Amino acid sequence: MLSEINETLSFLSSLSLTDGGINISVKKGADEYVMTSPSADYQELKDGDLECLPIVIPTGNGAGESEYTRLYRAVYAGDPTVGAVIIAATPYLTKLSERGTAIPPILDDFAQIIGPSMRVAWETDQVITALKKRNGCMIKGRGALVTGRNLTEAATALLVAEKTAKTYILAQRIGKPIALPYWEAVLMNFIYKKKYRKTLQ
Amino acid sequence: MDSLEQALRQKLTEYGIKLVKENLVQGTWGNISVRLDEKRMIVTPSGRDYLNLTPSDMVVVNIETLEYEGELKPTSERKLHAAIYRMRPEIGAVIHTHSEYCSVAASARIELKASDLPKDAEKELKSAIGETVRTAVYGLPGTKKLTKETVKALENRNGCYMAAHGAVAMGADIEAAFYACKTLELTTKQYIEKA
Repeated sequence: MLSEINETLSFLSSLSLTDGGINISVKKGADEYVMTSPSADYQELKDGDLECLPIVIPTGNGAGESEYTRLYRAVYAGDPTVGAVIIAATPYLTKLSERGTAIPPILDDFAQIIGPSMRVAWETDQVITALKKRNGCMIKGRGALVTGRNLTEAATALLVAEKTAKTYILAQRIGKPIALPYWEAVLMNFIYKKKYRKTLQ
Repeated sequence: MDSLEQALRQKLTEYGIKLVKENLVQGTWGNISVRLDEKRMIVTPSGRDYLNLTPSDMVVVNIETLEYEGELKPTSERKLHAAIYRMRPEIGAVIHTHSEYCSVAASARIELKASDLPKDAEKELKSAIGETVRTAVYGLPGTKKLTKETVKALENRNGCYMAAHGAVAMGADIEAAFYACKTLELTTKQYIEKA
């Protein structure tokens, strides 16, 4: 798992998607997940830089846990198909998250991979609502959280979401970005999930 | 397999890597093809990373029937590539990308006029693509509508944007198609940055 996470970090770093800060989590078995330590050196993670934590903790034991662990636990518990989560402060997603602007489905690969829009969660406890039927959402002022069935899919989601955020901002300089119809975007996301989900290999 | 086919397979592999290195495609998105003869084209396979492709991974597809040889599945956009070769006999290579700046133009669905660019860029765009770059009306990926609208937007042009999708560029050979593809991305970037 460590080498897979390092490979993903290296890939995302080559596209300048890790500069603003990133944290990665991968589900381990049915009840646990691994997350990168926020204080780790992301150039080359070592075994000790990964923490293994339970998805469900006894009621009342959540006091003092970090925001990352709260988010990861909520995402994995909320959707058992999620196998990996990335939280990243990439340049354009962060810009839109600061503005509190949702991204409409202006590109078809975005509709396929993320869903019919990428909403903004104004507080971390709104993330699960914002993620409903989507593989990503923004967190107000802090960038984005994306999910996938595995780490490759989550990295792809981050790449597509950042490209679409940039497209959305730049398209406003030359006209108006035009969104695909909502139901068409929902359908494309459904078909993609069922049949054509790609990998970065 | 004859020497021409071998050479074209090799070129497709090399230009796939060039597209990644020039940041014109990412991951497995986009596809490339070259005309093999009047009836056949060679295309990149579906869903495979360009950096890991070898010449033997490329797929020969019949331009008329879309039947393909071998076990690997050809790109899902093979209909578009085949339609271009049928409509434009002078075209020898086609590149479809989801490159960054062409995606911006494709999402705003603009028609870029070469005359709106600085002189040098105007000359480059006219030589590589034509007087304007149209945006093809939207069609779902892999559908007849996408093919029909894209071919229409390519009339008398060597490239166009594809609404909410990306861009396509072409030329007499893979070198010319790559030049058209790169020029389209760079001049579109210039246009957006000066807006």
